Amino acid sequence: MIRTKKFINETLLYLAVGVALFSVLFPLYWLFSTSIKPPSKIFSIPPRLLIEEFTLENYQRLFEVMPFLRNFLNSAIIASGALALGLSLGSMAAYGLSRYQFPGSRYFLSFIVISRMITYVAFVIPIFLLETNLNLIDTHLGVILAHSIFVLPFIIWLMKSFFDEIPKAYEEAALVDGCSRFRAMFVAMRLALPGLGTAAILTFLDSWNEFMFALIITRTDASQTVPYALVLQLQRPYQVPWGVLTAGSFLFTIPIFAFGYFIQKYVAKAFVLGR
Amino acid sequence: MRTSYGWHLKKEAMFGILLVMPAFILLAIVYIYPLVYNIDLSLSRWNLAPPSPKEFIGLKNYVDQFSDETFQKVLYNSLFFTGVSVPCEFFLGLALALLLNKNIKGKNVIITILALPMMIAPVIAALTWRWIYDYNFGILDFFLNQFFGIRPLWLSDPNIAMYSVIIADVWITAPFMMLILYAGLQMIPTERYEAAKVDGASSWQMFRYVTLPSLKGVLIVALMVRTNDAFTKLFDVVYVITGGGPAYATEVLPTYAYKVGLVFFRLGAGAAISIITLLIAAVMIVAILRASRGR
Amino acid sequence: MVEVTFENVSKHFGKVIAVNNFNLKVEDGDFLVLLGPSGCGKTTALRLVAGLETPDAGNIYIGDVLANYLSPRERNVALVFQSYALYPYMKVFDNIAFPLKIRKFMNEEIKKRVHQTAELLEINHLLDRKPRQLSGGQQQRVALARALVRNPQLFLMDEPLSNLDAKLRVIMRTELKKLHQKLKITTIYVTHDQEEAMTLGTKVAIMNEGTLQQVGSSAEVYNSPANIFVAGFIGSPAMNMLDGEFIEKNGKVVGNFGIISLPLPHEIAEKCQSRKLILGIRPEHIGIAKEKTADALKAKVEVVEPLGREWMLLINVKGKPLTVVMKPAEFIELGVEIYAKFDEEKMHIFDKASGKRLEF
Repeated sequence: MIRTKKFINETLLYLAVGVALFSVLFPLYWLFSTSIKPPSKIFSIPPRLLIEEFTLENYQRLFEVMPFLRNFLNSAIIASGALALGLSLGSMAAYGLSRYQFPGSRYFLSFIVISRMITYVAFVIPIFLLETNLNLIDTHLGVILAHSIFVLPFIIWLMKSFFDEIPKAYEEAALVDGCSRFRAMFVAMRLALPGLGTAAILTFLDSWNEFMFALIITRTDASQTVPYALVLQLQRPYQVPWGVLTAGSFLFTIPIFAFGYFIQKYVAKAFVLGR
Repeated sequence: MRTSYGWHLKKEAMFGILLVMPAFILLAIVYIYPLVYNIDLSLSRWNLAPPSPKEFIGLKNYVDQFSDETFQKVLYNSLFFTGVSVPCEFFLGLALALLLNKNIKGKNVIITILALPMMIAPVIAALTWRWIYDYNFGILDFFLNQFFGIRPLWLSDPNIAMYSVIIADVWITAPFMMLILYAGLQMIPTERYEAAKVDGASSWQMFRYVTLPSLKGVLIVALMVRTNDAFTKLFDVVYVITGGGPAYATEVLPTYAYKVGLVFFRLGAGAAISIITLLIAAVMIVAILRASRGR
Repeated sequence: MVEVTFENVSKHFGKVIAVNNFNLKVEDGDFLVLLGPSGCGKTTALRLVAGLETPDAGNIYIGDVLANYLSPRERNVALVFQSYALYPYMKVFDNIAFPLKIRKFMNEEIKKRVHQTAELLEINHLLDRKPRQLSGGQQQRVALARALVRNPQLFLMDEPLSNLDAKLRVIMRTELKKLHQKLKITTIYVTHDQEEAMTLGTKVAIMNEGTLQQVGSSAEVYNSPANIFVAGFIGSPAMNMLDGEFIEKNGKVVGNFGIISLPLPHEIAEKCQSRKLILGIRPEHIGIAKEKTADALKAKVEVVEPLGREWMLLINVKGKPLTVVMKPAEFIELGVEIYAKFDEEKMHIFDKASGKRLEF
């Protein structure tokens, strides 16, 4: 009796997991399969579930219909820029907050913790006005600065908790060995490398996937990112080119799958803490 | 002697300040200044189409919004969305986390797969769902029609559209809940379950008296964060799937604030809407905090 | 080679006073051990010398240089941490070379010095490994090598042996002592282990609650403890303490300690803050015999702990438990009645109120 009960329980368990996996994988499969179907098969009634013939014409059209390469490049530049800016300023600030007391440090820290709770919509209009005045509209730098709104506090918060975990003994040994305070900081940075790696991956992803600020700041392919460019395709007067859109979406998502491996390894814990 | 000692202490603090200064300056420029300016805007009338000068009008924007029918609808939408999607995320996330807590083969792979929706760009997830919801060629329509004979207008029926948005958003965010709760579950020492077992607790009792209380802290924090995010940060999904329509049926506060401010170019009104969103969210969070303390 | 002087040094952390009006002089070439229980301020005192903390009051001199505001870098001291603090991402060679690299020594010179120091500590064969591949004892030697490689004028050690197992600890103690005899670098060594302190130090400074209790050679602190705390802290098993008081009778002063009474000199009244006294006698200074002799006290053996070359007994004298250490004897058994005699020359009298030992 117990055996059958156990068997039933286990089957239900795997069934539930299976349903969950299906719910996650099917839309993604649908995205990918649409991208490699010829348009005739995409817009067929009834829709074809399985891939009967595949073609790369959607991917080819992608580059004809929109400046995808340029968009992709823009996304990469902006994400890298946000990452570089955030890591350099953020990790330094995090170290300062972790190791030193000074008037205002506690306020600054509280500010960092609370900052993620303030809706980003509240920044949209002022950032637009500010960047218009500074001629940053439609520039990479403009988007990078806007992204700093969420990138910088996150990095500071994450890295501070990392630094708090590293025993001061290493830096003290370095000081006694003759390092300046600055040089001793680099000892700590070296020890915090896993934290920096985690922060780097998460920051890059957040900037890569971001839409709202890109919508507001970019105007032309000079700085438009892929998410925005894809959405523009939705606003065409005629039939939405789903083949092209899914192809572009898939290409845009490939780096994320690559990161997925690293995320699984190092980041899973920090990810949960980070949000 | 005393002065040079005081100076030495300052040297330590100075180094700390030096480290923090660049980040602080950047944040002052892109975060603090815009936020304060936004509050100022919300207290002004300033339209750009047609252009009019910026003038101080106090709380008039706030009053106007609350008496505006569209705003009321939008506010209701945001509340409705939050009230439905957050519990959904929680239950799904908790269920999955509990499932994964058991011994399952290939757990790591499964978790990685289940985590995918939150890793892809919200825009792309929204595009995927929009394609699924398509009336003519969408797979969902085909499936439901074939097996149930119904063809709901996922995107154009005002009564259904919000659910379309909710489903897509839950698809994106439930994995996040799952990961957080899973991590929380991992932290519960097995001895607690064993002690309960020895005491004779059933599975349900163990869930109620061991699992839930141990998760309480994590749950509260996750609840606060997700409620805030659902109410104040829902943008990409709505923009892509329905654009706020049909007829404001899915318009939420963040998208509305953007529309009013940067599409209709009523800057003061737009700013006020964003601040109202902020304040209501703050009230909700405090309420959750109070409620959790009470227990 | 240099002296270190603490002059009225105080340091507090928030409300906690870690070091209180501390005065100490460490002579050139000394191996001074700072000894005391956890929280007594010894590590703080060490960190003050290293420059990792700044004194709130008082002065610290290294040589005749006022060191209060000097950075660690400027002090040319070496510090061996309790956790060794070896850089885990560097090879052993690079760990040892680090202080020289910072000071921009030439590569040739660095190589020479690292090999020399590694030779001295017998870790030449480990230079290519990473710290996590080494045993505790080996890591400790690397930490020592890193400290020695730059010929510091002052050598500081913070409980360096506490992470090693007992046997290794004893071996390393001897190594450290030999090293000091050879190099004669002024050393300040922090520990809570009184056995370590007694064997290693040329001088022992005992601290409690931030205050210096006594400083002297191991023999001095053992045989002439300055107060009750030192008497009780030094020596294992601990000194036996008997409460009592003195009274004057017929012009003579007698100290009454319950199980025993002693005549005491007249001056005691002046030296004491009150009448209450404590009599201290070390376990090895209580003689045990089978038969009664003059002045011996009747006692019953309650616990016998055979430790090999000596035995530790717990005896009961008129309800008072006393610890005794003696050579093994056949007549000692559980429950047996024996006679205990205190060695008169080795008894100590303490003023209970001030804690100080009274000298006559």
